[in-house]
Amino acid sequence: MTLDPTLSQIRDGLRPFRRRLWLRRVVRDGTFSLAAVMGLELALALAARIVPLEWGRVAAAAIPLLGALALLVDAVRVRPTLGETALALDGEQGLRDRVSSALEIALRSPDLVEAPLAAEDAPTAEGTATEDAATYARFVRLQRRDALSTLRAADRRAFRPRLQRRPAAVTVVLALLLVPALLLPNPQSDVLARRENQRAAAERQAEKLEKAAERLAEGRTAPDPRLDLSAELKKLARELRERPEDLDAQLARLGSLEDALRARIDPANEQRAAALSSLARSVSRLSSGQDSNPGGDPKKANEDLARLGEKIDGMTKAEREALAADLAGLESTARQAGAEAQAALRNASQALGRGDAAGAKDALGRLGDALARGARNVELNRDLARTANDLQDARRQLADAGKPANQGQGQGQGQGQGQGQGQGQGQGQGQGQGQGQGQGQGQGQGQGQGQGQGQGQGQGQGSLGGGGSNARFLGSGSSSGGFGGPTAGNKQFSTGDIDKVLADFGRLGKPGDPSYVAGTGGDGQTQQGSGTGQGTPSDAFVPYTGVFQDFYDFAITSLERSTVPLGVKDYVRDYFSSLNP
Amino acid sequence: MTEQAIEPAATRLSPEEFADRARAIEREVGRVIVGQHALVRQTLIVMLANGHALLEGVPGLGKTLLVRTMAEVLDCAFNRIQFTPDLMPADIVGTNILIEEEGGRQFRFQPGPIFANLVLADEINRATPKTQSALLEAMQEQQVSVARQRYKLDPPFFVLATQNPLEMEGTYPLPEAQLDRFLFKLWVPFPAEEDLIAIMDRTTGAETATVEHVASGADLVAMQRLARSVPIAPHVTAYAVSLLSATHPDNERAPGLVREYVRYGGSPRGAQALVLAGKISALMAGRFNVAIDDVREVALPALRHRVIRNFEGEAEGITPDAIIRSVLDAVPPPRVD
Repeated sequence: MTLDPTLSQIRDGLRPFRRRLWLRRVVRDGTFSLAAVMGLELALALAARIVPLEWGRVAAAAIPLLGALALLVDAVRVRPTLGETALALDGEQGLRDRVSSALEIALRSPDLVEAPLAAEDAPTAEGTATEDAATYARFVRLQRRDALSTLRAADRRAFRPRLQRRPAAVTVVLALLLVPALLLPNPQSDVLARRENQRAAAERQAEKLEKAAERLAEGRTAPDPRLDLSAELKKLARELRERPEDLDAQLARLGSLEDALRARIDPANEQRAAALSSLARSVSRLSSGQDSNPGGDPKKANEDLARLGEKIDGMTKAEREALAADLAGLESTARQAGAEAQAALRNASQALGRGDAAGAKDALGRLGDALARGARNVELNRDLARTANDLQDARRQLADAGKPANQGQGQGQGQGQGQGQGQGQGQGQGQGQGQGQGQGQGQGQGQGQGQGQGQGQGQGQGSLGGGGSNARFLGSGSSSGGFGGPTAGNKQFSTGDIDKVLADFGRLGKPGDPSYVAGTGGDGQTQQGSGTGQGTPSDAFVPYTGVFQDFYDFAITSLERSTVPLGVKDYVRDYFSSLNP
Repeated sequence: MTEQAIEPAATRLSPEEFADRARAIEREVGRVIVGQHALVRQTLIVMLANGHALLEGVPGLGKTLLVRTMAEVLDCAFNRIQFTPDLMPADIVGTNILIEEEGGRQFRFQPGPIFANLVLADEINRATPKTQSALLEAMQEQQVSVARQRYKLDPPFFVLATQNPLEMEGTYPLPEAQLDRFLFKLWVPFPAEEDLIAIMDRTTGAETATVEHVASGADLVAMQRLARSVPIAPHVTAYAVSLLSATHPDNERAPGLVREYVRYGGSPRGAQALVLAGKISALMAGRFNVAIDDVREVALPALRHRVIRNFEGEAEGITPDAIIRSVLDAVPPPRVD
């Protein structure tokens, strides 16, 4: 179809204006988009200061992209038609609807669109419909010419892109507000960092729990309880991964399992282990006549017991009696190793005493079995204890990860002075000797307002300053010159909310640390004794060899009953091993 | 029917000639009528649209003079009817009278003053409704019926009615149906002082201003025909319709003033008046297309008598012009950014 040339020229003439109008629309909508983006960014920045938004950075980056995308879509959408351009041009340049009328009437009168139009001066039959149609066509033609001439005279710089004042002003204001909102420290950043740490810690602990589970299940067959424990640990690990943010629930689950494990652990396991080792070592020595089993291996002891049983038939009565006596001498150790071992040992001893070689063999066999079962139980208990410690460690790590970053600093304080000899322990036990001066040694652990523990040793002379402290474990001492005890009760230890989480055992002092950790003053008053007191001989001076076993038992029991990491347990065991007479 | 029967235009009129003639008529009328340019133009628009106008203004502002001058300039038959309460319909349209002729008596129709090209219905609101309604058929159908006989009124036929807004006692306000038949209701303003001075000079001197015929009735008919041929863009027509719709209180675009004080909005004749007057306005301005501004310019005279105020509107003195202006504000020209 060939367009009427005038109409075609009008359309061609409108195209540059259409591009300019399009650009103006894009600039206009871009201003709105920019204002919207700024507004959303500001709202996001403000919201991120009120509540921790983990997706805040992603959203902050996505908003401008979405704004640009929306503008792109809008740019396609707002592309003006020629008709819109004509209307806009008429309005902008005051053309009194000349151009738009020419175009719209062309659409309305398709028969007048095609070229050529009837000649302007073509004769028509007057007074008829044809005349009216011709008049109409003449008007259309005149309108198009008028529109074309108007269009040619129109200002080519029409539709100059311009910023919308209000959205531009809003954009500037929002940008100014956005700067401090972004630059000032955000209190929610710590929360987000803590959550991130929490997730990382949960992942780490989940891995550890899975490793522990694999370790427990390795080589085990049903109905070994460690298989169930392994499944439980895997379940916990999975929950940790799935819901790391649910810190309280995770801690509760870990604590629950840990408590269940601790309830199953034999508190005298290590004592029993030591007794089993000692018994195994002793029975091997009885069998071979030498220290053939220094490690106290129950298997080796079992073999040695079997050989010992074979030797019984060839023993003289005196040798049997001597063996019975030796076995009877091991009964106290066997009692600690377990009732079964004790009964088997007693039966063997009694059978030997009666000359019942078969009964003795049988009893020795049962002793060997009891040693093996005891060793397995010890191993099971140790696995349970290790797992409980792993759970405890996981709880601590998770709890630490959930703590605000600027907390956790504490100051351990404790102070003690003692005179004479004595040893202070956590429970305030102490012994001293009168008669003058001596060296004192004390240990204490303290915790101040925050958290932390200290351990120190001190030496001093003079009466005990028992004014009190905030130490976790209270100190004590004795004096020969009259006991200068505290006149007021020691202040009750208080750690506030920190008891809700576990103590940081990693901060325990080591030998070589400062002799004491300064503590805050207590509420009590110090009353010092003075003068030369005669003192009273104290029963406290007892050779340590006599009380070593009691202290050892007490320490081992305490270790098993308390939530103490394995490293600390080993430390305590090493300490007692070094003192073992 | 009448001696001044107008024949169809002998020659085809161009738009340029239309504008020239319209300007010539305005110019010639302006030799007698001082100032009142808008009134003259709007009256001319009414005549070119083949419509009727209701002129309202206080006495002495030249309403009658305007109509008479128009008739002289256009070289049309002119009749003036002074409406009074005792005026009867037959006094307007005519009646059959008994005539004695050779061979006997017979009734013959005696045309009334309505049979003219330009009829001035002076103080139309002083006649009874019965008499006023006698104009209805003539204005709308351009014919009268007497004794079951129809008598065609020759074109061009205009009724230019006047009414005095002050002396309302003993008057009969025109019913809405009759008001709707007027294309425009024109408000005749009081002249400005400089115009008054010119009026004094012209009317109190020895010389009397005279006018010449610058157009004939046939020219007027040709101009009317040409005006109707002006193509109008759909968006302009749509705008005229939007304006009219906004005078209705239940229309969503109706402004608050309309919603509160208007009982009924304009009839479709209002939109017809806007479009037709817009076309003539464009032609008189020398354009071939109707602009939205042409429609807006004629909105006041075309709609002010078609908006029926409610009791509150009348009681609070809300003028129809204020209502129409609020409509014009509420319906701005379509703007494309």
